[in-house]
Amino acid sequence: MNKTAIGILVLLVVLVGGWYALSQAPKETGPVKIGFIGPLSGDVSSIGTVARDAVELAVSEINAAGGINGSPVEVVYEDGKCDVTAATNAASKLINIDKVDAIIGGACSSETSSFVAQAMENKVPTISYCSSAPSLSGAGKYFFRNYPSDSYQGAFMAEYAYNVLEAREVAILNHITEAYTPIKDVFTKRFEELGGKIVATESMPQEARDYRTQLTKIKNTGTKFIYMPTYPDGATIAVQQAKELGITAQIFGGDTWGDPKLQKAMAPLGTYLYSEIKTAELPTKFTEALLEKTGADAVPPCAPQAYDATYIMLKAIQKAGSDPDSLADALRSSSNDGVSGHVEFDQNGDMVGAAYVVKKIENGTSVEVK
Amino acid sequence: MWAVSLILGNMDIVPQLVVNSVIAGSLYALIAMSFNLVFGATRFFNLSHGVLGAVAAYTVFYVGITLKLPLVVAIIGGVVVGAAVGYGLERLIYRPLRKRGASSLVLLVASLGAFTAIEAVIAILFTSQFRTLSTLIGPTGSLNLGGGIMTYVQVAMFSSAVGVLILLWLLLSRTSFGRAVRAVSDDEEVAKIVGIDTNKIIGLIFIVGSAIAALAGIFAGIDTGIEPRMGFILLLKGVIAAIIGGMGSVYGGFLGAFILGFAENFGIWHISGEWKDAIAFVILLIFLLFRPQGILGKKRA
Repeated sequence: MNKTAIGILVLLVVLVGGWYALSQAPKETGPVKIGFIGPLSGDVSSIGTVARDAVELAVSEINAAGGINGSPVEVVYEDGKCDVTAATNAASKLINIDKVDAIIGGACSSETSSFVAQAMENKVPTISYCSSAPSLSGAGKYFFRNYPSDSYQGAFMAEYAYNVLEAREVAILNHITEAYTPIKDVFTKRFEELGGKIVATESMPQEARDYRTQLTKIKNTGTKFIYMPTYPDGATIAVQQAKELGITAQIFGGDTWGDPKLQKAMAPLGTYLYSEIKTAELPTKFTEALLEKTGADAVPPCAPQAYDATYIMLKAIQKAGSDPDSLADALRSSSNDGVSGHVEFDQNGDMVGAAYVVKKIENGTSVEVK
Repeated sequence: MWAVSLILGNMDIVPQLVVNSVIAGSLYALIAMSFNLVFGATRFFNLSHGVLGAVAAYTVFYVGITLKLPLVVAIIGGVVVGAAVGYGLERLIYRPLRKRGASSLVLLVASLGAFTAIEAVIAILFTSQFRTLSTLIGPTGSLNLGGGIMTYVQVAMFSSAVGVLILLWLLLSRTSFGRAVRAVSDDEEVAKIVGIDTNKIIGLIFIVGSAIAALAGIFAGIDTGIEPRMGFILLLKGVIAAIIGGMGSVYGGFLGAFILGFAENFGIWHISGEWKDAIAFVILLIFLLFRPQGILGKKRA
């Protein structure tokens, strides 16, 4: 190692150290500070960035109406990248450096699973607006989610495939994630209980960009139905490659296929089905305000839940203050009517009563299948 | 009989598996050949090489979709910008560092810095959203090769990989530039002593190598889609192919790429696709342990 390299290293250490020292400066008391975690970059950023916008929208409304007990609300946004390491780092920063009173997040189940223990240890009440992994149920006294657990989604889709689509043989292509691996397992179990047969199961990392050989194997089974519980970016590519390979089977996906970007990208490819949690019709006031902010023309999944989670958390803070124990009690006993519908939490922090609908993606948009 | 019919029954899948392997191998080959070309002359592990593919793909996106200029203009623009950025990195970062006698470890760290910085700039300019470039070319047809389906884009990708191989062979074996490149690859100091302007040669290698990496990025973008991270994905498999084939050997890179492509795609014939990356890395480890110089690489003293 020569002098220049050592010089660069010293400079880096000084810079990082200086930044750290400055960020450790005592914070002023006053604003209610909450943290946000979601994928602001990477594979699932089309969902995470709009969730952030929805939280910003909720907070600006609350602040315009006088804040929480007279104090303004401040949000620190951190990028969880739908990734275990990034989400852990994001949570450490929020908890130890920003010293937030509560966390809204994460979006991906992998994010939430990676930091939930840390949040529970530090008694930071957390509401996830998008994480569906069944393993998160009962993660701790301070953990809640206003998004249903996947134990429902996989079973719902299996019943739909067997009873409505009258599928008897299904092939599965799924992403290996905290959310979609259990969905695949629940789907398989339920579909086989009903008397159906899973003819092939191909699992891939969500970053995979070449699904051709997996799809070739699936095509070779001659199946007429393919279940693809996958995240949007990989799903778009997989569906395009399926089309290239001449696969004509009916493909149906998971809840993240509600992503408008995916639906636009799939417009030239064909007609696809997916399951989505049943929400109340979104109020136009919310939709308009959010779309004005994002400049897009449709609301992706989890944005309404992120908006609601912010309100639920801040209303509870208004009622119970920032003491974690009383805040957790206030959340557990709360009853909320938000833009995504009615939300109450059970003992495990899960949402009570979730229902799903099937939607059809066609010509770049989606409609509910009755 | 049952076993035979089982195997034969499954044989229908083989033509498509071959095609899938060729598609994957073509992309790996473009990166591996260009990576090895640059490595051969500079002897450092240039991590910034992959990001040039992303730079080129985003240039195509900007020129072709944002400015709505014709596809040919977009592709030429992508290759030119990719090559220019590669050459710029050489002039602004690697050459000054080499001049100061920086070790290859320092150069590696510098290239990691360049990689990360450029990736971040792309994400800032274009957001980190995944996008498709397929609207640029519209719906294309495909060839049916004995049961294996290959789209025209993929055919073009394979032809480019073979074309680049032939062009590089001509360039390296038939021109005085090629002789100079080989001299620099053998020993930069000796090349300098016999009067070769090594900086000029290395600069030209960066331009050619970066243009090939740019081509790989553009094909990956049109075939699947673009995202700032794509450079890393390209680099990872390209480098495995480069190591299998022999570090510094252009022809080895080509060979290694197709070996990797076939191993990955045939490897998951009877097991689940999630093993694909594991197969690639196990092959890498086997080569590192038992044949570190790769298939066509020279043993270094």
